[in-house]
Amino acid sequence: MGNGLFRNGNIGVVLLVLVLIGMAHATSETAVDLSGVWRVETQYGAVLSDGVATFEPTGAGRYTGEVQDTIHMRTGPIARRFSTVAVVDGATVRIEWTRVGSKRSDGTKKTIQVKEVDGGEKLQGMGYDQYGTFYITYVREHKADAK
Amino acid sequence: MKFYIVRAALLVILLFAGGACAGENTHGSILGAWRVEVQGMENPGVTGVGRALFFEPLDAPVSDGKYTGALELRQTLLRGNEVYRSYRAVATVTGEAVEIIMTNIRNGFIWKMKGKFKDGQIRGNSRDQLYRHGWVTFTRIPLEEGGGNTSAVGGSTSPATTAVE
Repeated sequence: MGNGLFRNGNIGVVLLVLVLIGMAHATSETAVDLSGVWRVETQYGAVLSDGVATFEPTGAGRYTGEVQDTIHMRTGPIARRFSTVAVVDGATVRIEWTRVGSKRSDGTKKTIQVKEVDGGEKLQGMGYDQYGTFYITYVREHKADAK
Repeated sequence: MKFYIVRAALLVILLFAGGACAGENTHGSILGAWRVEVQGMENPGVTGVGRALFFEPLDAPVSDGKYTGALELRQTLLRGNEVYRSYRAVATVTGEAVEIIMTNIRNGFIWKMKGKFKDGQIRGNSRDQLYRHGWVTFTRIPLEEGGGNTSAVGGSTSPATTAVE
């Protein structure tokens, strides 16, 4: 039955190739490059924090980095530091912040997921920790042109 | 001729099937962000609206069907006054069935929900440790939605303003 491309002997191979093309098409997202310096802001209800985040690639879409920020509590500002690990999966980035340099909170973690917006210049999403959920935004920091 | 049209249709269907298999399968997955609505069974005037988040942690791959996360609710109580409550959440997913145990981060009060994935939602009923029952609905919301705005919990007052540090 059939001839040429659609002969019985070829049809299985053709189907397999087409399914593989379909799979490749569905997973082909451009990965975000996190390398560099970002401004980072979080919001827990009325409580805001802002600071600077850095990322360095460690290969295979993974990055390590650091966040130094200030959270503006009703009782006053508190400076914080976190070590971070990020994994990029297409346009989605999963990030974990681990608190360092605090007697009370050392080792506590924040689990974060963000998606790129504005062509990769901004990452926006949400996270949670032991206290609740929060919004988070990363904005890429542009260095002044060297002249 | 008819035979080739049928074959061509089959090829197109398989092509889309391949794409669908490779794409994100959100059906039956609790990972991500959800809008949460709660209503008391015994007291329908007791309601709650909020958000829940479940993300796969980087250092602990999920393998046993358990997912950790957080849930926040703005609850309207019997006399109409509102309270904000934050919970740690542990969800156990078994096929289409979901069980979530929520623990108030301030006082340890526990309530549980049993539900099922249906039409992009998780619907079920709950029971707290005082045996009060409720209806609970989780509806998916995009992660990047509402950045800088606490619309999901309906206000700007944090439930954890003294504890977020």
